[in-house]
Amino acid sequence: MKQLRFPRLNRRQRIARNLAVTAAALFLIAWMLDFPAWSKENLVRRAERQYLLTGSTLAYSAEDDYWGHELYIRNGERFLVARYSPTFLGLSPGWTHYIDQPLYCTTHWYNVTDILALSAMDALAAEMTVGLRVKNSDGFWLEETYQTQGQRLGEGVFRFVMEPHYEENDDSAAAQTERKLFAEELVANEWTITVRYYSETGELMGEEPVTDLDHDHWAW
Amino acid sequence: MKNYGQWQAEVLNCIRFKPDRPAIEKELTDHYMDHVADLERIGYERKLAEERALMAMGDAAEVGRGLDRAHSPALGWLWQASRVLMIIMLVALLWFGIVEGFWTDIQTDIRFAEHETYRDYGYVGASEEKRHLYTLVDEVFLHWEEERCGYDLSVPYAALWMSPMSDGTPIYYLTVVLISEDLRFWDEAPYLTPMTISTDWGKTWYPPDVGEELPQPPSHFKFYTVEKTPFHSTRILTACLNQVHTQWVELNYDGSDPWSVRIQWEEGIYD
Repeated sequence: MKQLRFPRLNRRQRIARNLAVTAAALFLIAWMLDFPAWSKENLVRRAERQYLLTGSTLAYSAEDDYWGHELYIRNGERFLVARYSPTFLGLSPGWTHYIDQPLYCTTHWYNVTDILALSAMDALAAEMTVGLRVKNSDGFWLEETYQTQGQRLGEGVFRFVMEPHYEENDDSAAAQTERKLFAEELVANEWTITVRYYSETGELMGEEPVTDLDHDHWAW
Repeated sequence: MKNYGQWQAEVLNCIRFKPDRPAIEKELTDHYMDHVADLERIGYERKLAEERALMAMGDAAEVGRGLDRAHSPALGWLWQASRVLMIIMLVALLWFGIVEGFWTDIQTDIRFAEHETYRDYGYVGASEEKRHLYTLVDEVFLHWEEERCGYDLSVPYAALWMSPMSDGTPIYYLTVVLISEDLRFWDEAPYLTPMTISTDWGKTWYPPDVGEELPQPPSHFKFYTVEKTPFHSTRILTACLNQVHTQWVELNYDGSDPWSVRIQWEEGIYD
């Protein structure tokens, strides 16, 4: 049987071959990573194109351990939430969620003490009231109402982080239940949430109840 | 007179690209030793054979300059760098592809058509074992084409299927072929999930993944990808129309530049 022999290449040809193999490998890696984008702006354009939209703006970019890497993109009254992962080739795009509702609220799993809200309302400030009923393992029911000012992260993007009502050294059943709630060891059994929007001058622009909380934020 | 060791050292000193020196050294020594052995074979004494062979090797400085030209440092370092880069990239490719399992991302991006005609797919919303229970009521070949956000969108085919319930009640199902093409291989095909459907029956409904309650009919509003490359995507949209005798169905997409396509069934198909 004739042995397969590769032609002997000179140095220039070897350089060309090596660069061609490198480029092919790089292309395949980029493909496996869904062709990472080189900037967030580029990710915004790609996300809006996938929903056949134009003229979107990046309202907020989350880059923390809690919410992960997400871009909150505003397009008129709609929002797109585009997940991405930083890689050595750039920002690898993930699933893009399409939100077309006046007020969208999401939580990290079932933790209602930290809520991210996307609102079509052009408010400069927002306030949230959260009424909760939580049952602990001993059958004790905690009923509390929390009120908090939203942290305006971007145009229409607010984060509402509740503050505990009980001191850390309080040993009452209510305090222990609240601590478990804030530590995500318990979930609220019932909740009522209202968001109020304020203008630049502090005037109340409107009030909106939250009818649905997206607990599956991480399942996108 | 110089010995071979001195001659070789002088030649090698002329070569600026040091990584090549061992290979050149071996080649020169092999050549010299072969020549010495040849001369010995025809009767030369060892010492004389070495002298003659060394003379035949030529002037060390001239040979050194010639070899230096052939082994340019710029080309040499470029070659070394390209080799290192290639190895790193191949290791990274194996790491991402096999260890991290990203190879499947490429696999899912390429899907070849399983059938020659769209009709042959049947009602793709049903499992393959049950597709034979769906009969074709009507089919429409359209020439609808639009360009949106750099995607060439087209709807070439739509079909109405019927499958009876256990009591014989006919239930109607819709399939619409949606094609998107673009030259941006790095972009996914448009999701199209915010699409709505309206009919002459007068109801508008939404796919479940935009969070709307589904009025009945239809149900099972879903997209199936039947053909895919980085430049092309063919999807079949399916929906159950229940018992409604629709005369037309309209797909509406409310993007930045809204579009819609109407599918008109033939008269009398329900008779």
